[in-house]
Amino acid sequence: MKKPDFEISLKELEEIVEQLETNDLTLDETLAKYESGIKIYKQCYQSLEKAEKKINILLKNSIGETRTEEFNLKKTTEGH
Amino acid sequence: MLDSFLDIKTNQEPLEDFTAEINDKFFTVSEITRGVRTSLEHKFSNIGVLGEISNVRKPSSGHVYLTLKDKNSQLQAVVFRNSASRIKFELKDGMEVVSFGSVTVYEPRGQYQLIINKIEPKGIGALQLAFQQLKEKLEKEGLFDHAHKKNIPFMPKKIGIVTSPTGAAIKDILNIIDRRFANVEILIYPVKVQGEGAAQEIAEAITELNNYSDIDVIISGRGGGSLEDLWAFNEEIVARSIYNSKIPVISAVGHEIDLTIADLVADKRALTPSEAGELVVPRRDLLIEKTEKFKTRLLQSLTGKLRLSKEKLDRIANSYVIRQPFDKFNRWQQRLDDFAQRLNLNITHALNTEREKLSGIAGKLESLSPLNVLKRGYTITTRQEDNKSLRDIKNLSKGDKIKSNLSKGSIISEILSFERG
Repeated sequence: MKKPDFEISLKELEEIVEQLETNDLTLDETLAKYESGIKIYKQCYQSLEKAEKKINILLKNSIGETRTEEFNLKKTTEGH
Repeated sequence: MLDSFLDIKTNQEPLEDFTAEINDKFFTVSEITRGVRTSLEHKFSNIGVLGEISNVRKPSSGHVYLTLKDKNSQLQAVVFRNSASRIKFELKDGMEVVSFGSVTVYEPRGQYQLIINKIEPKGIGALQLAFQQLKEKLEKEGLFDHAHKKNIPFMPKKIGIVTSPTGAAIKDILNIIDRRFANVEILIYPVKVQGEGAAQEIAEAITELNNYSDIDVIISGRGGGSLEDLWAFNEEIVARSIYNSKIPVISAVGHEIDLTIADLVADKRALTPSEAGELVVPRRDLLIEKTEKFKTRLLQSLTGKLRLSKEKLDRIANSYVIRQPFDKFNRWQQRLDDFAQRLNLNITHALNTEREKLSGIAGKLESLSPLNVLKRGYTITTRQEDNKSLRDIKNLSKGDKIKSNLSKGSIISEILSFERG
């Protein structure tokens, strides 16, 4: 299952916050909104935190087979 | 010029008897042709010719045939395949050009022609013209249409970069991404970014990256350089690969002043490779800040609501009704009792009045009683049949029995006759 897009989630979160702040909701409604808001907040936070830094370079051998290797900027640009 | 022909003639190897004798007197066609050719090649070698292009023909051989002309004359010309493939712009009739090459003779036909090695538009650089021509062509085809441009994802998880792994561009892009949103996945597809075959490699790389389903966006580009250096990004093959890419492409070629065809086709143009880094990822720190602010506001809203609700509850709890829940009841009951009492009094009073009234009526009734009337000597006569009192002779017949009630006792008689009263 694909996780919801960060931008959309953030927008949803914003809407919930605004509803909570401006609408005269009942306590039950407020609690329900708060709960779904916190859920979306966690998703947003996770997608900001979870991804890993990974820089690879694609290499091809003489017969066109590809493999990837970690790319080191310093190594390749040194002496250039 | 004739001298040189004669020179050639004298330089010929002596041929056999008879033929040789004739040959001494006459030129063969081949000799003339070869002679003309040598002479022309000697005189018109590596020259530049000004003229207007007409009658361009491009057969499948790859050679290009054309006629150069001015007001008075025409010159047949040919661009052989190898040279033709190096011409960046498209040769069109009516175009004023400077052609570089040598005049020679096509011996099978005895025609002289200019063999063109290099051709340039007059008054404008060849590359500029090529750029203009391709731009017009692709524009007409709709490759720059805004409607076709895809959105750049807000927060890509994986970025493909098509550039030289040793160039300035990759360094700039990676630095900026690292500063803004370091924890992202990047796949570099190394390519030549200038020179022979560069355009092909760039186009292939973009096409191949489209096979990686997890790549959200592609950056293709290079650092600054001369128009020639950047030329690969003005090639049609690159333009088409960008146009056909299902993954959004950010083009980042050279500096702001270097507008390339790739920039025009791309879904987004970055003015520099550094800007590509800025366009491709958002600033993570700002996003975290924003997200945290929302969370704070969520909490504030909830606690605010809870506080308000509690206050409301307190207000209700402290209200008179809640504190003295039976008070009202008691008051109502009191009122009820009051009513009941008043009701009771009223009823008693009414009863008494009625009672008094009744005894008055009873006195009256007694005085009106027929018994008292009878006592005074009157009688009440009734028909015996139905015991109805009689006031009229109507409905009575002779022989009917009637009863006369006296004060004491009664008489039963039979009607003999009537007298009308």
